[in-house]
Amino acid sequence: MPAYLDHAASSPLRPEAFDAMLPWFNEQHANPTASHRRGRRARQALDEARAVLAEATGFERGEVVFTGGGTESDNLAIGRGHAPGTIVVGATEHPAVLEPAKLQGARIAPVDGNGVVSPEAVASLVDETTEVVSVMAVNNETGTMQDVAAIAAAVHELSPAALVHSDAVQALPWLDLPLVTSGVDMLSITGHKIGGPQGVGAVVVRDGRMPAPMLVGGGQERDRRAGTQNVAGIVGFAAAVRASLDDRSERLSRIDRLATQLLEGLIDQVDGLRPTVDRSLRVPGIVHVCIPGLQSEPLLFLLDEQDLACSAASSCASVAQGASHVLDAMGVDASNTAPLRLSLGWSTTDADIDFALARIPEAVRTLREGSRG
Amino acid sequence: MAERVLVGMSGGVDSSVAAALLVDQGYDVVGVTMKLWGGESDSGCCSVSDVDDARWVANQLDIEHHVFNFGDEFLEHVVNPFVDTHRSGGTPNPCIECNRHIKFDLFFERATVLGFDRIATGHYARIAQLDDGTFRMQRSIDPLKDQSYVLHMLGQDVLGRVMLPIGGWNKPELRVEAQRRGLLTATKPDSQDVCFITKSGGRESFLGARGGLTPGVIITEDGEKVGEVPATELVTIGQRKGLNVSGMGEPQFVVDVDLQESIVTIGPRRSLQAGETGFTQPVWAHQPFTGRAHVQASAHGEALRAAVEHDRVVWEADRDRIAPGQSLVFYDNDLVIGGAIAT
Repeated sequence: MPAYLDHAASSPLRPEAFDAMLPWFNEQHANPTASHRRGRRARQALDEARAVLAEATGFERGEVVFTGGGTESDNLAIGRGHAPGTIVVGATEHPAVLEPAKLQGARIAPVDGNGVVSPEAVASLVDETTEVVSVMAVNNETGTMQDVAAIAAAVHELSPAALVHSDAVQALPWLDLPLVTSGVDMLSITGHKIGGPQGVGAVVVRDGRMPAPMLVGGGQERDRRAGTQNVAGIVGFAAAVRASLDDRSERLSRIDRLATQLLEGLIDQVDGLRPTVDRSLRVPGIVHVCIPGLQSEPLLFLLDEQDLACSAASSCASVAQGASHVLDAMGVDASNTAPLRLSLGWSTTDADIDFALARIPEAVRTLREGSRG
Repeated sequence: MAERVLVGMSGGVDSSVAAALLVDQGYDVVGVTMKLWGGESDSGCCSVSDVDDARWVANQLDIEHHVFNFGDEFLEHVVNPFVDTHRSGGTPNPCIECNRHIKFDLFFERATVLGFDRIATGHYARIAQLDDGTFRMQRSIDPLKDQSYVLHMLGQDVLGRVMLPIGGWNKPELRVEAQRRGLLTATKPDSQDVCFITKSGGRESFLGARGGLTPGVIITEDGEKVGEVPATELVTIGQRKGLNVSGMGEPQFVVDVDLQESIVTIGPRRSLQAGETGFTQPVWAHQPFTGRAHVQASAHGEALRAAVEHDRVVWEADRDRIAPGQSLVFYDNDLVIGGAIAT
């Protein structure tokens, strides 16, 4: 029996999203900019999806810009043509933020041992020339939460014109975004981390503060992102967000219980295993641990053989395991230590946890003994 | 239950066919591409597209495919020593060091830990089992492709558990076989030379970027200065081309490289001749050996008759000197007895 504990990489499609998308692949298919009635129906579907995302993020409907996913949203928010030193980002940001920021000579705010970037650390890098500040709401590898609202307040006090962005891709399934990201100017979110389809996301931007578009053409998304919208994908995205909002409190307590059971079981059974981040500082769905005395690549190989899907939280384009810039920034000594990210989500069950608790300690034992014999 | 075999798939045609043959033979096969070099390359063993090709072929064969990242170890055991050996005036063979430390050590060890019975690669060589039960590396049936030279360091523990499924094939037939099977890599060109050295930049730009190269002067055996070289570290004993010395009458070869003084000495072919070659770090297929053997000093060089002593090879007939750092491989007919590094 397989188990899927890789929701932070991509969460399985929720049935609500699947059902909502189907008509837009066949009988209701149309270009949402067309003037005929089918086109108007598609446009209406986009409007309704926009309303759901606005509710989930605490922005206005007109402030939602659909994109091709989290990376595009992050790139759009960081923008281009910034002078060196005018962008400030956290050290553990997703590469979709970090790379465009570094290309433009960004200042990098350090994090502490839990991966937390303090408002003070950010503020110390902000001055009147600062144009964009980006700090993720929840880290994709470790699940660390940031006090984004406090960071936004600190930045705006020093530099009211600066745009504060937060990558909320991993926060969307778990946190009340209007509350925890209050005061930010831009948020990135994506469909497939909450049970929507892959390849669709959004950046929400306070009215009038939108950076220059990257894609220009037919004027879709009010000239902020040209190209025919992915109607079915957007409808599925919104349906997943709706479902996620509706079941959040039940799901949070269920996943918190399962994650705690998983972590305690692992600590109990695997010598030296330690959680990477304090429980109070991370979202319930991401359990990141470090296991001394082995490497993550062979560990993932053995877990994959058992059909337990999880990750070491960092992979390059060739799917080889690489060093984690997140753990580096946190000062975690990852030499001869296997980082392991087990991420839970809407479909996670007790059976998944039982399976993981049976297989992971066994795989660790195999590797530590050096032979399966 | 079928034996489990972890096969190294580089994304080239040889290892693709190797994997296919193992599947045919009924083994439980899993493919692995080792990611070794993250820097610039012409393709070779290390680029993302080769991983893609290997994965595609694994999919064609309906086997699982994984990537092992040995980049740090490759840097430590292959690339850095390559740079250091050049810097100290030697001529390293990085493919041999990669086989010694990565493909038949780390990869072998990991396969063992992961519960595989055997490993396999797409090298052109064979494994022979002698009457006494011990194993030997044996030349491929294709003399043009034979890779026993770069695999000479394997000991009994590895030889007994490694499979080289294409050792009995010659390359043209193997390509036909790959085409017959419709493998993606059937017409892919062979990889060239050292995987981390690009054609355009060569060793010069690679080593130049890693600590600088020292210009030197070229002198004759009489001490007369006749030219200059841009990088003394890149000059190899026996080298004839690229020295830009002319009008010397007979052809001139590098007969000595003095890195400390940055002096390259050239002379006629006869000055290059030597009756013996010292060696260090010998490794043996089974037991230490002294006595008559055929000794090969480069990947596709001729194996010459010689007496192997405990720290040197005495050639039956004088021959061109061998650049320090090159491997000497000792053969009994087509079986590898062992090898060592020329000093």
